[in-house]
Amino acid sequence: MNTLHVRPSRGGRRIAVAAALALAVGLAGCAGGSNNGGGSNNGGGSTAADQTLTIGFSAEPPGFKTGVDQGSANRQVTTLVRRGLLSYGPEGEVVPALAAEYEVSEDGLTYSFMLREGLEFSNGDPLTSADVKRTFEYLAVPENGAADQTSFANVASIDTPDDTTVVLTLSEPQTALPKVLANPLNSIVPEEEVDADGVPLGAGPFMVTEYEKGVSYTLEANPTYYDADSVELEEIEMTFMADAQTRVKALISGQVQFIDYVPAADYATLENANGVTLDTAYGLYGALQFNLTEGPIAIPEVRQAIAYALDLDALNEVGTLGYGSANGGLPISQESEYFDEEQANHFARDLAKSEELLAAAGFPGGGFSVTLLTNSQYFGHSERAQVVKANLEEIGITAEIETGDYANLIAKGNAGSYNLMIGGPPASIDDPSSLTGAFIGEPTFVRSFGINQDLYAGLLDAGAKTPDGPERAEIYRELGEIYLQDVPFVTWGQGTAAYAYTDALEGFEMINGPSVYSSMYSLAGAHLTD
Amino acid sequence: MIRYILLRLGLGVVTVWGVVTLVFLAVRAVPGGPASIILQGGAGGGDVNPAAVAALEQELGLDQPILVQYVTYLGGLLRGDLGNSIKYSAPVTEIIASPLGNTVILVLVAIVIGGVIGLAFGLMSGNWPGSVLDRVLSGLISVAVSTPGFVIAIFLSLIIGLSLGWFPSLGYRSPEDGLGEFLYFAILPSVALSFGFLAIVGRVARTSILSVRREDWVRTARGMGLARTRVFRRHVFRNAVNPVVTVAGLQFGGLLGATVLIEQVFNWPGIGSTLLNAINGRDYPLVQGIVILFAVVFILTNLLVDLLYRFLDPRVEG
Repeated sequence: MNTLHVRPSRGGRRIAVAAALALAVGLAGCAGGSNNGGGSNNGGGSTAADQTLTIGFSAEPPGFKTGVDQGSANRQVTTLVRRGLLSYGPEGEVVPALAAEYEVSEDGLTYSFMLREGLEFSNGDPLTSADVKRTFEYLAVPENGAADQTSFANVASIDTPDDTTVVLTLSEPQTALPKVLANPLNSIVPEEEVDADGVPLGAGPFMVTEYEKGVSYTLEANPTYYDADSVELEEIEMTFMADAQTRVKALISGQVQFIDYVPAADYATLENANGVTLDTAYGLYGALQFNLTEGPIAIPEVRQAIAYALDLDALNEVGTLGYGSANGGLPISQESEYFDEEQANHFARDLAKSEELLAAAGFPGGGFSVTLLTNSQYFGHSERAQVVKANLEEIGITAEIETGDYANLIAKGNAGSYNLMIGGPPASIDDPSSLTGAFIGEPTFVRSFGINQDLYAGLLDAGAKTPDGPERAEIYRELGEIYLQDVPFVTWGQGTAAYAYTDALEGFEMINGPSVYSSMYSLAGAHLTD
Repeated sequence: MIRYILLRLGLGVVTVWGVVTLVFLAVRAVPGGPASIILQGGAGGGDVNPAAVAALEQELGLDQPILVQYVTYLGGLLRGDLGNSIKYSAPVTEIIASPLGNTVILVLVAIVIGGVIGLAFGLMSGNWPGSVLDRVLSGLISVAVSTPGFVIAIFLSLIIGLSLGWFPSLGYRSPEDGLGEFLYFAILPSVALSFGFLAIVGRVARTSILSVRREDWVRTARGMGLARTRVFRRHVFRNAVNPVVTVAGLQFGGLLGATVLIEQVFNWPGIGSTLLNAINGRDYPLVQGIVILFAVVFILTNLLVDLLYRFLDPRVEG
């Protein structure tokens, strides 16, 4: 069937070419000649007619360990090459994928999925209910590190009465299960891919046919995809471009037709560029995280004082150049029915209240110092640290900023080596049950260090089990009230995520909220026009 | 001579061992480990169970005491094994071959461009000191020497690449796609890389020419009525070129280092970009492998330059 071509090392040949080059005279002449052969400055792109989409991609994914959330790059490639039982539509709604349909028992404990007939992975192997069972069983093991491990741990049994039927029996109801199953991280993988970490293979609309390490992926339409006839893009060339300016430059010059992870600093440039569409959506929440285990920060009144001192508008302005949305409260997507406007405005800036709270906590006029951990790798993070520092100075707290690369932040965040940290709660799906990751779990940099998990566990558990509706809304409102008193972290609002692409691309849609990096699901139905 | 070469190579091995040890300790002293980065990814990476991080560390051998890791690594080195890249799960030698080739090409093209132009500038400037030509060329050399390579790279990319569209502002084509197209993409990064080299060659060549022109034997040759061009070719140029060769040779290692930023600007998949990515991903074996490579290139280049200098000027003693 289709085989992957990983380009072998060409070092030897290149050195030979280099030697020839060193002898070459009239370099400019060579270059001029190549202009005729290699095309123009826009030669890297393709014409619409050939349906080849060239992408300047923000990162070479660190890997594709099954179910593990390895960052946005991993998730985006996964949306192209793998599929789960379900998937997301353009509005972030759950739509059928490998499963044509499913049924839920009245008690919410049994999910029966009917797979499409004749499913195959892109390597030609059949995809049956056994593959679903094996994948889900792998995702449930904590040591395998799946992002939604706890969701799969809730699966009491997986029955496969025939090749196209999968019956999941849950130990407790789980309202968000369809959204979990639509998360690209939970796609179904063939046996050899479970616990593998190489080039991803799946049953998605595209398949990786060439991988040049450090350079690019080439994807081609997968003829075995269940809806192959609807896929119009024939090929996707993804060149790794870690530098944001490089990606923007490549798009404007026509060397690529699509870029991801556009920083807010480049929105204006792209909005004004001819022939380019800038698409933005609300993404993940940003937050000031606390180490609640030591010093004045361990006192709730001090944390409340800090929350009242923060200028959310300024933080939104420097972090997203105003494109994001400034709001506090629980990190629930503002388009969700569970978003609580009143709670989001609870910590409206009030320095007098801050000072009052500090005095009540035994720190009149502040007078103490904290470390503020951030990173220099991603746009907006260091800038936000500066705003936080300035805000805290106004209430007499001195913040010493510690910065480094993202790996440094991960290490110090995991170890709790900070007082304050520029971070953000994790959320893999657009559902309030996703809040669990912000409050519950082993200490890692994604949640505040030393959080009092007992305060939240009961309500989070109840929220995850309760069907959508007023009762569920009340649970999350109660949770929000506890959060506003305890303040284990202070959210400052939803950031933005953006893609930019040639006007010739039609059919790409961005999903708002935590699932924003699943937006490339829609490339399966996109096409290039003349 | 053979004894001298063996001695230098022996010293080189000791230097490489020192570099290996230093880098081995340095990369581990920086906070952040590869297992966390692999599992938690970059931007947008989510929650990962610490048990999974521990399991991966065990799989990668990172749970071993640092001394054990060090001895294991040195043992591998003695067998010519640079270890496996953590990110790519493949031998480091295999990973670096392709980007190294890409970078060597940039460096060689830069040496040809910078060497030819720099030497020409230096010779013209030194041969007519104080002239308008000298002032113009010296001014250009001063600008080239004082402007960082990445600034020139950004300028070339924006003006020549993006605005004028004469060459691609960034990107890469494999030599397998055709040598012409490959060169077409390599031109701007090579030119950007050549500026610093050009400036140093030009400056040394000018100084050297000026110094040799003042020698007694040059004045004697002129006094004997030899033609000016003949004096220049046979007496001035041949004697003045030795320091230029030395300096140019020593620049090779520096040019390799300069590619780190320039490759970023042009998104050129060379050894510089690979090193940066490896550092960001805390890919210890890959970082170590590339640094060892740089050290070996540096040591061998210095040795070759010394030998070449002796060949060009037999008066030099070892």
